[in-house]
Amino acid sequence: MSDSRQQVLNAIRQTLPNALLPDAHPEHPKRSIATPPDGIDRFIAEAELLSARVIRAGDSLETAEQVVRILTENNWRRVFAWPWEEIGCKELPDRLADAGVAAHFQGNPVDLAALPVGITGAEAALADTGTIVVRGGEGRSMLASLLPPVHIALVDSRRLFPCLSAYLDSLPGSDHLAAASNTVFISGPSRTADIEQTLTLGVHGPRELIIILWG
Amino acid sequence: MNLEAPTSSFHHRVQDAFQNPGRLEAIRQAAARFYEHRDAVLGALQDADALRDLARLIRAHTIANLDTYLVQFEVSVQQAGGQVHWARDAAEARSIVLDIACQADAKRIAKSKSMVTEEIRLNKALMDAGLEVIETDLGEFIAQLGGDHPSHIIAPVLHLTRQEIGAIFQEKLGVDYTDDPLALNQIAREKLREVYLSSDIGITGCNFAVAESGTICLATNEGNGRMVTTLPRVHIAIMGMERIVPTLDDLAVMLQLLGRSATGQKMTVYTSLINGPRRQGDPHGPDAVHVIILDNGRTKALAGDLAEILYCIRCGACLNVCPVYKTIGGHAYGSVYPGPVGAIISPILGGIPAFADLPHASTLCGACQEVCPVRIDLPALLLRLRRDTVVEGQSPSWLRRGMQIYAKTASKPSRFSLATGVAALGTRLLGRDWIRLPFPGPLAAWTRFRHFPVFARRIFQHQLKDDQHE
Repeated sequence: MSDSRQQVLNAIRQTLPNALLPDAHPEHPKRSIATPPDGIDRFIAEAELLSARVIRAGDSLETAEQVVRILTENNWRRVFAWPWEEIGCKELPDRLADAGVAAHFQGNPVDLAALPVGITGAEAALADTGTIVVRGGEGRSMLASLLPPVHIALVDSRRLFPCLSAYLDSLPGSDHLAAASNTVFISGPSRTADIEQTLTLGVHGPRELIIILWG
Repeated sequence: MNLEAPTSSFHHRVQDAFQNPGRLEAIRQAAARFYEHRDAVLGALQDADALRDLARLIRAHTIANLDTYLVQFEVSVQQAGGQVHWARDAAEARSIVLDIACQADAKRIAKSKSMVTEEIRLNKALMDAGLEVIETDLGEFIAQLGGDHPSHIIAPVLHLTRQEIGAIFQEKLGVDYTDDPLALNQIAREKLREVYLSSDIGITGCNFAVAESGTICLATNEGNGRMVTTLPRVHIAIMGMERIVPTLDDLAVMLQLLGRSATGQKMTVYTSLINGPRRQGDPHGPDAVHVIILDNGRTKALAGDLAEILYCIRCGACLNVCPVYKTIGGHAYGSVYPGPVGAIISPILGGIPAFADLPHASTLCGACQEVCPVRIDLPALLLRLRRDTVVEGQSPSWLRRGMQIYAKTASKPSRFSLATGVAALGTRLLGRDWIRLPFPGPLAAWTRFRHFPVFARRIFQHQLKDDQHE
């Protein structure tokens, strides 16, 4: 096997000096693309274009109330959630308990798949594409944003960036993303147009994405 | 060879495609829609041209330093706890997957859509070994159920109607017939949920591999890619060795172009960044992540004057604008990779004898180059491949003989003048504007599909002479 590694690398090294590669420069090209000055309005417009629902909320109390309202309106009594400290809305656990909502944080995916809604945080929102950045890690199951038919994501509005590049620029380095085994950029609910180009939501993942932009 | 050769000739495949005009019409409409969306979202982008220039520079630089970045990527993946395998060809890649499956004591495998696994004919090898393999992208799932092949690299069953899909579901899944897309989606959702939750291994391709961070990037819309990389115990990602980009910043540039060029989406719904298996504290995720770096003829591409094709980011935009693709559809190419990009990749990987017709399946109109997000000069590459087919003696014998006769005739003005004079007279005897009669012998190939134009009454040389005298 290491033999194959050496053979492939040797073959590349032998051919590269004579390869015809137009516009190839030895130095790594640097980015110099203008980032759009996009804000909250753009984010909401783009996310809604993708059939996501965006709700604005003020402080963490109002945010918690919004979540409870959505859950009770739909009679969702059990949720698949991230640990509360990972979502960052401190009033949420008490409010949910008061409303009689039971939260599941981990367990067998077969059982979790039966829960009607997943609640997660998001570490950033990207305005120009209506995207939220959901990063896995300690306690933060990637399935909470995937298995239930509805995904509610809480995003701190101070974590809104104009675009993907601006978000990446804000990170201390590539280590931040590499530190999580899984990160996903989510732009709207699961969709397909594989059957006669007819748009259908929720083919495998959530059919509904509710983003609560708070703070 | 690195790519399976088609079993029938190009002409037969095209004729087969023409048997079903409804399918071709569906392909045309979908291609037009993708293209319109692409145009709109790229047009709305600030500085789309500068972004494409930058993407091209990044791809060129990466390929020119491929060995360095592959080794950097390997180290980064290992640091994240993943395992890296190298495969010289399809057979080796298949045996690596089989070994991993055997060691994991796997029975059931869930797959996310991947061109490269089609390229190496992975499913057949796994099924021959007694494993159950299920495609989970809705289109691929339908194609697999129906025993069909994908016809478009982004929308695999573009060629099937909802009625055909309904019939496939009824027959293969034992459900009541419906042709309602929503109901069909729901059936697939339920069936595939059970597959994700019970599979031992998830297999994916790789849209981009980031050298600095060891990241596997997967762009999907349905969420099946996320399912197969999160639920099964083992995740295997197979990547063509040219999928590399150096940094996450470079990845951001590619992601801004990939969705927009492919389907006109600003971002695909789910863009996953995978860095090794689950860590301590992760509630879910695979215990092992394997990355297979595949050559399978790509170093051969690097050696010739077609290396630019390795810049390709597999968006499929060149298919959607190609007048030939839109006329004959994806299946007629006889390859996993259809369209202009397929007409170049297929002969490189599968050898010119098996795919000699594909470089000619182009009008060289340049639309593909125009839309290519990394501005690959596809027409130039197609021309070089045409040259290669002649050099390798793969052009039809009647064409070569014809060209020899033409060369003899055209190299002397007197002969040329005489020949055109005869042709002008001859063709005028056979028709007024067009000759509609079938030609005999090898010439029949021309008149089978089109009329032959009648030569002008006065040939160009005579007209020129007259003008000069005036």
